[in-house]
Amino acid sequence: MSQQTRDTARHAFDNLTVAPELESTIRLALARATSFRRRQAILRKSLLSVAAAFLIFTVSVNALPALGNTMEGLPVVGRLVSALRLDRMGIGGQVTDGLHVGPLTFTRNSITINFTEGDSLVDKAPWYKITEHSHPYSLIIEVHGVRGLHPSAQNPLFASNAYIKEMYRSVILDDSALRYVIVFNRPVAVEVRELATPAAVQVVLAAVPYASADAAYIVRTYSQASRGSAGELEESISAALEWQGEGVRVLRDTQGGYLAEAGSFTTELAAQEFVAKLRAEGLTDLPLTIERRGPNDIPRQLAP
Amino acid sequence: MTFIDKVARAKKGDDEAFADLVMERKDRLYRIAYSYVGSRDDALDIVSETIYNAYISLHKLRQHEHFYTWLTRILINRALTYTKKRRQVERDAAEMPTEIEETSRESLLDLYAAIDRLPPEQKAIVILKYLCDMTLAEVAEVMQYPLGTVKTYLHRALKELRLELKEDEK
Repeated sequence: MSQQTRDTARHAFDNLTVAPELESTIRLALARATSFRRRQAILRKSLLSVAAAFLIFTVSVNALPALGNTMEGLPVVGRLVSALRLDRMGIGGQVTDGLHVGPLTFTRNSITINFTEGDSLVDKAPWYKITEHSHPYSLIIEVHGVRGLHPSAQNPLFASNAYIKEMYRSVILDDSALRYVIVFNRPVAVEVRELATPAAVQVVLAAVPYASADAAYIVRTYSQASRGSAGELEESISAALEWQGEGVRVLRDTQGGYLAEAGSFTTELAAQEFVAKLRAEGLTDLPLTIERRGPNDIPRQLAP
Repeated sequence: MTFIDKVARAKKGDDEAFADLVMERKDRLYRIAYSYVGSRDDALDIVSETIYNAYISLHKLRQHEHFYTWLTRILINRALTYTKKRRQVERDAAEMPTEIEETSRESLLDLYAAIDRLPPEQKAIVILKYLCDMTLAEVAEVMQYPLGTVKTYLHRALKELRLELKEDEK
């Protein structure tokens, strides 16, 4: 290696443009670290009594949703309630506008989504909804009152996470909302935490045993080249079901195409009856089909 | 407040002191991470994990005067872990300083490509020695290797680089 090459390399190193997000990234890392240390300190101080209270509290909150709703407004305890929602859907955050989603950070068992305005992290999380699904095991995260993405949220680098098979942006026909799909490589228990100052929605994952290997019969559209088209089909299905369809979602298939799903059924007969119902609701031209899918399978690419 | 005082205060839980220390070297930390992984987003991730880990394990720092060496060691360890998990490094020529001449830019890209092909530890030693301009003793301290081991690794790395760069010139 010649002296000239070394000098050029040194010069390039000294003059390398630093990413403008560096400072906010460091501030965020510090916030995560201080929050972690605070939690550790609290844990150390009150190990046994808190463990007992926590158990009673967890049982109460999950058995009595009304108790959870009442306590949500209280500081500190409110956060804890947000972290204990164990049902299939988690909702939280505030009404906002124009925020950016990200930075996104991943650890072995968690996903932390922060939110920014300009270069600064914001203190309150925007309104979000997180739903759990199977076939495949997945989460759909929907955030409202946002209009852009931090660079780390464009193509999330989730390799450090032990449970994520793929994570991608899905579609939502609302220009002030964003939706992500996170597909897991196995069944997981999900805990959703909402944090403030800086605001974050944190999803904490833990492996759980496979409950059932049963396949499902999925009523879905054929694969579409763009997620926009799949989004329009999803909208038509939702409208036909008067926005009551719990299984309506857009997923990506094994080949990178997109599809809208209308519902999931345990028998093929039930799926066929549902297709007939949708047809009767006026969706006569919708390109629907039925796919048999295992609990851990990504949708196949299907064409008419 | 002296540097040593600041480290001592950070160790006692003064978050502002810790943030000051980190912010003073943030650009350098980023540049080392970037030199290692060749991507802006990956470099930001590595710096973020480094700061997080450093804060959590600050109580383990024995010698206050070695704070930055210790921080760089954490960064290099994060970068090593990161590259072991990741695909090949893909460098973006557009992120290089614009004032570098075209011919120098090409030889620089060749050099980076050759450095990326080195075993991870040798790569780290070359970056610390030739890009960060550290002394061999400082490199040995960051890597926690005996000085002789660093010299041996560096000798091997330079031999490899000479071969690689010669091949590219043909």
